[in-house]
Amino acid sequence: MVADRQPFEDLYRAYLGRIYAYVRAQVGSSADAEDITAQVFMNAYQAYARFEARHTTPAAWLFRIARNATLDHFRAHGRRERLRRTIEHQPVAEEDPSGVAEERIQYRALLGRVAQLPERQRDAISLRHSGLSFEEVGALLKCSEDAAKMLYHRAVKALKEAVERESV
Amino acid sequence: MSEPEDLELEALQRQLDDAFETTRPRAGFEDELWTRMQAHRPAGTRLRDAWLGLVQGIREVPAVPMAAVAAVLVVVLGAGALVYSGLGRGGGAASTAAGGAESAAQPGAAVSSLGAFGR
Repeated sequence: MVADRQPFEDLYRAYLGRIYAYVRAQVGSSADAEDITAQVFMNAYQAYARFEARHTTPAAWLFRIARNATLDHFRAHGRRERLRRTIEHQPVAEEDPSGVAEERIQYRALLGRVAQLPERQRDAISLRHSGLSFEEVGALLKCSEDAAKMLYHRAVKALKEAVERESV
Repeated sequence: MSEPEDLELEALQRQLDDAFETTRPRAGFEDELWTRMQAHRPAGTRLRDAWLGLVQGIREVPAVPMAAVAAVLVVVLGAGALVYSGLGRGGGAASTAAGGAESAAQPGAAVSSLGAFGR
C-alpha cells in the first residue's frame, strides 16, 4: 500500500550517509563509493513501488540493494583492481590537503583496512556498524543471527590483528 | 579471551562506530544525486507523484478553513442554481400573490433584488 510507506525522499535523506559509509568501507575509494551509492538509490527509487514494509525494514531493504550493487561492482572491476585502489588510497593524508582532524584520517585508514578483509567479514562489520541488527545482518548474509554474531566477532578480531600488524 | 584483549576489541568497535558515523559523502552530493534521480524518472511516475502531492496537499489543509470554503461554495452554487432555474424571477407562490401584475410588467425587478447574480 502506498499509504503505508514514507515518501522516498525521506528514506533517501535518512539513509544516504549510512549507505555511502557502508559502500565506502567495501570499496575503499570515495569516487567508487559515490558511483555505487548513486546506483543504489537509482535502483531503489525504481523498485520502491514494490517495497513492502511488512516483509522487511527499509534499512535492510536498502542495504540489500547496496550489497548487491557492491558485489556487481567487484564482478565488473575485479578484486585485484579493488585492492590496488584500496592500497593507493591508504596515504589518505594526501587526499586531505586542508588538514582535517587526524582522527578522521585514522577513521579513513580504518575503513581502508576493513575493505581489505575477506568479503563476509567485511560485510559483517560494515552492516553491523551501519546500524543493522544481527538478525538483519544474518538475513542479508543468509545465515542465522547467532552465526552473524560469531562472524562479526571473528571479523573484529581479524581487523584488530591487521591493525596491529601494520603498526609494527 | 583475556580482559585486556576484550578492552582492546571494545575500543576498536568504538572506533568503528565513529568511523562509520563520520564517513559521509562530500558536501553537495546529496542534492546533486537527488536532482539526477528526479531527472531520470519516467513521465508516468512524475504525473502520478504530482497527483499524489496534490491530494496530500488537500488532505493537509486544516479542517476549519476547508469547511468555510465548502460552506461558501454551497451558498454560491445554491444561489446560482436558484437564479438560473428561474425560481427567483417571480415563479414562486409568494411573489405571485404579492404583486403578480407588477412582476409581469417589470420582469427584471425580482432578479435585480438578488444582486449581481441576478443580472
